[in-house]
Amino acid sequence: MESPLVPYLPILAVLLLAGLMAMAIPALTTRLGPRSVNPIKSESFECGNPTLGTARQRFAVKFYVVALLFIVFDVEAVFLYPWAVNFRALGWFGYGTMLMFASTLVMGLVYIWKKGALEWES
Amino acid sequence: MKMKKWIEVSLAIGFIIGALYGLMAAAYGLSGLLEGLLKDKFGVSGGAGFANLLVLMLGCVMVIATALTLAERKWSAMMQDRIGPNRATIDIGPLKGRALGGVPHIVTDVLKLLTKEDFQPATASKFLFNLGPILAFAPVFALFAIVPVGPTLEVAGQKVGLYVANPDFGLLYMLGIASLAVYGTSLAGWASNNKFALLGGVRASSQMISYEVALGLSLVGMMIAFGTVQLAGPTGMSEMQGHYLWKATVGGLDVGIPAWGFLLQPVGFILFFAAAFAETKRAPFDVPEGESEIIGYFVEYSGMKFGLFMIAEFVEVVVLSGVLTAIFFGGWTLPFGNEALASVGFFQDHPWVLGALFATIFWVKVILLCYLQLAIRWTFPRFRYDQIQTLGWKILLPMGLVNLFVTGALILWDPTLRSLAIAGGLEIALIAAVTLVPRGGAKDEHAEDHGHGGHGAHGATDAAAPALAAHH
Repeated sequence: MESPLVPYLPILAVLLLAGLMAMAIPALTTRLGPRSVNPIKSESFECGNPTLGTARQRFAVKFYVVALLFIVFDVEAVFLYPWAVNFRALGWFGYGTMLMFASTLVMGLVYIWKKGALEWES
Repeated sequence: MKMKKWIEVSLAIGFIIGALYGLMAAAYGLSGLLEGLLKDKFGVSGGAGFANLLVLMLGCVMVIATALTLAERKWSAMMQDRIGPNRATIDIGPLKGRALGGVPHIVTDVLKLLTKEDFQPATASKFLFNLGPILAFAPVFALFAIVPVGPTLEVAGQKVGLYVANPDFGLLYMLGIASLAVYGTSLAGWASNNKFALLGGVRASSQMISYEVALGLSLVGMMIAFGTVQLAGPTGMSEMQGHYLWKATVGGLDVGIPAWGFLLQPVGFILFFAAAFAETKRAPFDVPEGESEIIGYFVEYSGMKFGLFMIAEFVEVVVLSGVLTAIFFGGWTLPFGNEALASVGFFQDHPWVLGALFATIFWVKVILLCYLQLAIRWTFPRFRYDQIQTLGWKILLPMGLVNLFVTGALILWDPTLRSLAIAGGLEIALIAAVTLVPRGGAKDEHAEDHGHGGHGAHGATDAAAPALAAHH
């Protein structure tokens, strides 16, 4: 009796191969390329000017807002998949239920839209 | 001169298609052999998957992606009226001094990248800096595993299909693995400890997660239509598209309108294409790079580490074309005549001959879609970053939700999918009308009378702008 996981062996092989290739290709450069280190070259590149401070700084809060919104709406999409696969079996009842679920999220979308969370330039 | 050029081009195209056919026939043969071997020796199935891993992913995806690095330079040269790469030559016998369409440049590019210094800034986080390109490349490459390339046939007494794996969670695997790629770019940007790289990295991650929402929503319509997230196999999305919605038989040839995804879900197709295009971070969505302003998240990378980011981009183009073909363009099926072909006696005796033919059709579709992506990349101007976010959140996301529930209602109303196809046809006509009919005609003619800029660039700006302008 075959293990039920056997059909997924090729996927495991693909992931391993992808990881190995991604590690082997840059490793080749490390072997083949020349090496010469000097302190000026090792500075981080700022268009030829002397480096000013570190890059470990705060950055615009807008990027965090997008990340928060992403979680809300991507989880919504995840909830849609099981419904989509059983769509015909659930019929109009499932459709109505999902419409209600989605409309609460659309209200959220309208709210953040009106609040200006989606305005990049402000 | 003109005639000679035509002959050369058609010979090259014929050679590519012939090579693809040969590869696909070899894929079937190797799959059958390996499947049988593994079953006899170890009693496990899945040998076909390993064979396809070698032939389809290493043999086709990687080779097409590598060839695209040249194709992009050559095609962009064609579009901009330049000659393109023609300097590298192979100085052996009759080949001496001939450009060969720039093909030697593929080899010289790889050699150049491999022999560059592997540079690391002193302030970078070593481990994460090295992890960045790995995480950018590996998920993109692994994506292709679920894409079915050809029909399932009996070869050497084994039932083999031309896919690496056929899990019943196919599309979920795709969405899950695709979202891993965002770590590569954001890690690369952060670990470089460079302000430009950091800006590129946060731009990239913000853009990619914004479009992932639309990416996820755009496919729900297709999942509803076929009631599955599986791609390969007789109940998979790819093969179900080969069934006819309306069918007629004309002189033994079956013609009709197949249930291809872009006909059932034109809006879903556009959403998916736009969102996936934004995920590839290529122009017009290339603000994470913006080579003329911030250089991007890979500014500190050199040699093949940079090359890995670059090749990941091209692999993404090929994989996206493959996924689009499988979900929206009927996979390996032809729009007509599939049944007529399958009933030919010779093909029934030697199923792999027909199977390889279908698989070749798949790859031809993939290459055409690659060309479409490169054409978009070289004709559209770059979006501003606020335009990108507006497009993702204020246009694609609401459009996806509306499309989803309209599709659902149409399917519940008519489960045969025919009214969905009619609605899809109307949507395509509407989109074509909106795109082709000039808006504000007087102004356009005025601009053209005075010869402002090239026509191509003008049209491209026009096509991109209206949807965005509507919201400002």
